[in-house]
Amino acid sequence: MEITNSQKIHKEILDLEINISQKYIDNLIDTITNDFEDRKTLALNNLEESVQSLCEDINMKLSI
Amino acid sequence: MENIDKIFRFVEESGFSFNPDILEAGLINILGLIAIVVSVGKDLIGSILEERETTIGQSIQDAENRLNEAQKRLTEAQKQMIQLSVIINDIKNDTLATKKNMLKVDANEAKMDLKFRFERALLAFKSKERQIFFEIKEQITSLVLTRTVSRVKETFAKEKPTAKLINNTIRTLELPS
Repeated sequence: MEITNSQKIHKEILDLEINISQKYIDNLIDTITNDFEDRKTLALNNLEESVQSLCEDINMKLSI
Repeated sequence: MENIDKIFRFVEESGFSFNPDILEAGLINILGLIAIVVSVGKDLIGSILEERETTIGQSIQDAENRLNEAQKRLTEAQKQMIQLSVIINDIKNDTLATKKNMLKVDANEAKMDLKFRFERALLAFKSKERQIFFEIKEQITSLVLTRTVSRVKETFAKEKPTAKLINNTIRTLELPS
């Protein structure tokens, strides 16, 4: 009886800890995803130089 | 009846006689009465006291017996208590060990669950990273191709005949860089 009660309480505590950890993980992934999106937007907005450089390389190769 | 006879015999033998003057004979009467009572009641009181003494002795003996028996029971109860304490301690230790083991198992399960959740999160993170990398790469490729095609179209539109241009381009591409 004592063991069962103790195990039940311990399991509840562990479930609680796991739920807290899952929330932390979810928040972390949300933060990282938002950061990725911001960086992607920044990268897409600053592609001009790289695109121009690549275009020049291709044009040179094609001699046009 | 026998006692009354004894009283009268005692009075006759002792030379006592009845004195009708109450004031004069009060003290003597009282003393005589006491003497009579003591003399007559000696056996009776003696037997009662003996009986009483026997009863008290018996009671004391009974009480001692009961005390001894109680002490024996107390000793046995103490022994049983010690044995029970040992058994209870064993049970407590076993219970504690079992509890620890079960808690360890639960903790390990929780750890595994947490590890799985972190791994899944890591996979989601890597997948997102890869997806964004490919999106940027695709965007760059798309932009470069669009511009290059546009430039090629412009060049082809300006220069005629195009065959000459194509030949020049192929020759250029064939040359080592």
